Amino acid sequence: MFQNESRSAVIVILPSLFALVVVVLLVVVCLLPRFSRGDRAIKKHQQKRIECLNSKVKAEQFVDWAKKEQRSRPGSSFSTVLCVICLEDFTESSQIRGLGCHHVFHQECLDNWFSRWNEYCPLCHRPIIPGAKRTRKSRRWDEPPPVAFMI
Amino acid sequence: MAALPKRIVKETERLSKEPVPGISAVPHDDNLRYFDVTIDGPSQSPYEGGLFRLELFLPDDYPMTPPKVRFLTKIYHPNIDRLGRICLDVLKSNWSPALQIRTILLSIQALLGAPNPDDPLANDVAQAWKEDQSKAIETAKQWTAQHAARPTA
Ligand SMILES: [Zn+2]
Ligand SMILES: [Zn+2]
Repeated sequence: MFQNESRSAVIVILPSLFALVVVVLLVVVCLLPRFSRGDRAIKKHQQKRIECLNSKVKAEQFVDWAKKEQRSRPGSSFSTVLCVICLEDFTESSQIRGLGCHHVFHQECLDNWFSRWNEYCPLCHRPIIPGAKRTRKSRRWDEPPPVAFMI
Repeated sequence: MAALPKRIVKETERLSKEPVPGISAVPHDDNLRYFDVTIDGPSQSPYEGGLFRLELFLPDDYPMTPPKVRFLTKIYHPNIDRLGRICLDVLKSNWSPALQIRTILLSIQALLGAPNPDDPLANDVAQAWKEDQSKAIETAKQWTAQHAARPTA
């Protein structure tokens, strides 16, 4: 009796287990390429945005940018020698991007921020690409920043 | 686990060396992205005298994405829901990598001092706040005494 029962259990359970495994495998095989395709599309999109950024906001060495800033705005002192994204000091040879709002960030740090669809300056929320339209999500750049930027 | 980004190390060091008055944030030994936070209820608010516990987690993408912060202490506030989730623009769409753990915690402390029932997360509390503000403030005080009492040394 008992043996019979366990045998029938095996007969029922084994095939259904097998079917389950097959279904799971099928789902994985179908979904995997879709995920990686999505990844590739995102990468491509990010690349495009960086190209757009390169054409509008040049990357340069910090020392060159600082000289230009001093010439265009005599008397302005550099209180910011720090990249607020990574909190590292700039060195003369740091690769940076100086924005139209006179805020400056490491190229790597800003590109990382910008390529994820955040089009505003981390410090003043003005658009990074000059003249770009604000998205609904980003705040009006003429409003004061959301909190005191205490660093 | 990947190495901790320098920025997080710097922020953590500064939080312990130059703590913000009324705020503490201490990382867990076994997970340096997870902080135990306490905030003193601001004076002249219904939360005065209370000590509020929060948890703060820095996701992998931090500082490109905001920290995740939640109240652990029960609190009666129109912008904080039953689960301790906080309705604050800088924690969502207005996040910027120029903000830090300390600035976010200061904003949360400021939110305790200035409840905003017009931008509610806890709808029932906001409703009560609008209908009878002095009664709501009384309830907030009671909750503070009941749930946010300081441990007696
Ligand atoms: Zn940087
Ligand atoms: Zn700016």
